[in-house]
Parts: sequence; structure tokens; C-alpha cells
Amino acid sequence: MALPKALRSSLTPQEIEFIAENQQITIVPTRAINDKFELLSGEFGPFRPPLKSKVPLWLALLLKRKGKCTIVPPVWLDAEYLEAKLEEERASAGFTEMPFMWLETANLLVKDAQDDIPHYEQVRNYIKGIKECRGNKAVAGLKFITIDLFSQGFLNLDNLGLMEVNEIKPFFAKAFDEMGKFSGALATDKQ
Amino acid sequence: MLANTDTHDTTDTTDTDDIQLLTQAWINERGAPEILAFEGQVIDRLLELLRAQEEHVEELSNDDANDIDFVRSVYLHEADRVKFVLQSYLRTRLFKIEQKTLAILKSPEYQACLSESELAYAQRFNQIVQETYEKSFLLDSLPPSLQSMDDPNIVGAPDLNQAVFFRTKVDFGDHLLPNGETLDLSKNKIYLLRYNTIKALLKNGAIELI
Repeated sequence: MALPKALRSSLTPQEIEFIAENQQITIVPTRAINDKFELLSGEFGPFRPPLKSKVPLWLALLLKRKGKCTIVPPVWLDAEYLEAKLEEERASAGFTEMPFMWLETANLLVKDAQDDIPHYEQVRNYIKGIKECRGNKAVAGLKFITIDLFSQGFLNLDNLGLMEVNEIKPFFAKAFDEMGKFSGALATDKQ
Repeated sequence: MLANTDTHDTTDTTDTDDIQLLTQAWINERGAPEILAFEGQVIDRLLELLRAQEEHVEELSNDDANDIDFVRSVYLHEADRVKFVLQSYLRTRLFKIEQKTLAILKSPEYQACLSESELAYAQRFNQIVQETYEKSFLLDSLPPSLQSMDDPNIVGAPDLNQAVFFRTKVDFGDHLLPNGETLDLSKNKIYLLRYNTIKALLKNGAIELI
């Protein structure tokens, strides 16, 4: 088969992290690299410590793994901020506003750049807490996919991240399709 | 997705380059139930860039002997990333072509969405399937009235009612749905709804499938 079955209904977590790696992030070089990188996605370098530089996340991670830079975490990847966020998330019925690729970005940085994240353990726990809290809300949201929904025709899921959407996508899309069949909305549309 | 993620510190490049266009096309293709227009020009440009890049990497001087391997590996890594997206994009399309061969070959619009080699693949694939069916059961076991492959149930058109998730890329104002409801399409809204109600919006680039 041209496309493995696992890839048909949604993007895989690996693919989503791959997409997140296209984002730009600030680094502080720890070793000078005199070469300029004339990449297809732009020109980067030369890198001269301690001058900050913006590079794609994948490049930042390559540099990081070779001990050539430290990564400046995004402002929201911060223990204090995330603690407040977790509280807000728990208090709110809907999803609070987060960067579209927050979870995948956090995963990547937590995996490969822990020493650049102050209060790393706390940050990791808050991320986990926020993820679970939002995950529970998402699962609970499945009950909104009802026959009545079809007089409206859509379900609004603002503020969910790319990773979060793809986690619920197979169930939600299937439920939506099945409800559509029951509601008869599809039959009238086909006229 | 690439152009407007609001991640405060992690911002994206503002100009839309071909890598972004291809990545977007790949993600949309993965999310859409039907085959979308082939991004031939983007791919041609990227392949040309990749070729030039390869030459450039070979010519990289050895001024800085410590870093040359690393510098090379960065170029190769980027090339691999582009090739990965390209491969997944083409495979996703081949999958759709194999699944919906007849529907595609019967529709001039779908045919216009294919590249030359995809069209050739679809025709050849169809020919092989047809021959196999004829040899194995079609002509021997079925009465002539049931031998036609034109029946809509056999053609199996893509299910355009399939539910998809999408996100608005730009402020697009209110959008009227066929059922009279309005959809608020300001930037970064996320919805789950049926593909054919938003098909036109996808085509004009106002939204991305996610």
C-alpha cells in the first residue's frame, strides 16, 4: 500500500513533532561556527557567542545535541507561567489559549534541552497536568456530537493544539460521520 | 500552520517559501478525503534547489576542519527533511489514486489535479485491475448486465461528507453555511465539520486542514 494504515486517519505524533520543528526559536551559541548556512529555508549563522540568533527548531536541536548552543525556551515554557495556566485551565470550562503547537514544542524541548529549561521538573509536571486536564475536557466534548449538532453543522474546538486535535481526530471524525448518517442531514444535502 | 503559529518566542518565518508550501500541501492532502491539486511548480523548484544544494555541499571548503562535518550534516539534514515531506506527499496521493482510480479517471476535474506521471499511473493501475477482474470473475461468472464497471457504487467516489478538522489561517469574516448557519472564520478558529462545506475555502487558502 502506498500509505500505511496508521497514517491514514491522522498525522502521527512523530510527524507533528516534525512539523513543529519548522518553527523558529532563539538560541545562544556556545561555540563559534564561522560558516554561514545557506539553507533552503533561509540563511543562518555564522554563530558567534554570545550573540543570540533565530533558527528553525530542528537546527537548534542539532546544535544543542552537539553542545554548540543553548536554547532560549519560549516565554510560555516557564514554571510560573504554566502553574498559572494549569489553574486557569482547571477553572475554565473551555480550552484556554495556548500556542498552536505548545505540546509538541514542549515535548521536543523537554526531551533534548532539559538543561536549558529552568525548573525543568516543575515545567514537565505542569505540562503533564495541563495536557491531562485538556485531554479530559476533549474526551468529555465527545458528548456534544449529537444528532442536534447537525442542525448547526459544525463543532467549534478553538485553542486546541495540533497534537491535541490529532489525538481526538479519529474518534471525533468517526462520531461526527455516524451522527450525520443518523440525522438524515446528509441525505437532504445530496439532492 | 507554519506561517502563523503564535508561540511568542517561537515565531515563524514571514515569507512563504517553497518548503512551507509543500508542507502545507502535504498536511492538507493527508486531511482531505479527495485528491487535491498537484503542487507541481513548488516541487519542481524544490527539486532544482535540492540539486543545487547538493553541489554546494560537495564544494564546501575545508577552511574550518573542525566544523566541516557538522556543517555538511546540517545541509544533509535539511535535504532529508524536504525529501521526507515530498515522499509522504506523493505516497498520500498514490494511495488516493489507488483507492479511487475509477472516480478520478471519470472526472475531468480530478484528472486536472494529477501530474502527468500520476495520470499515467492511474490509467495503468486501472488497466491492470480491469484485466484482473475480467480474467478472474467479471466475464466468466457474471451476467453481461452486471459486468459494467460504471455503476456509482463500484466507482466509489470519495466521501466528501467526511468530517475534517480545519483551522483558519487568515481573518475571513463570517461564512454562511448551506444550512443557513454562520461560521465565524476569524483567524485561528478551529472547527470540525463536513469536508464539502469548506472545500472552496481550502482551495483559496483561507483555511488549513489539521
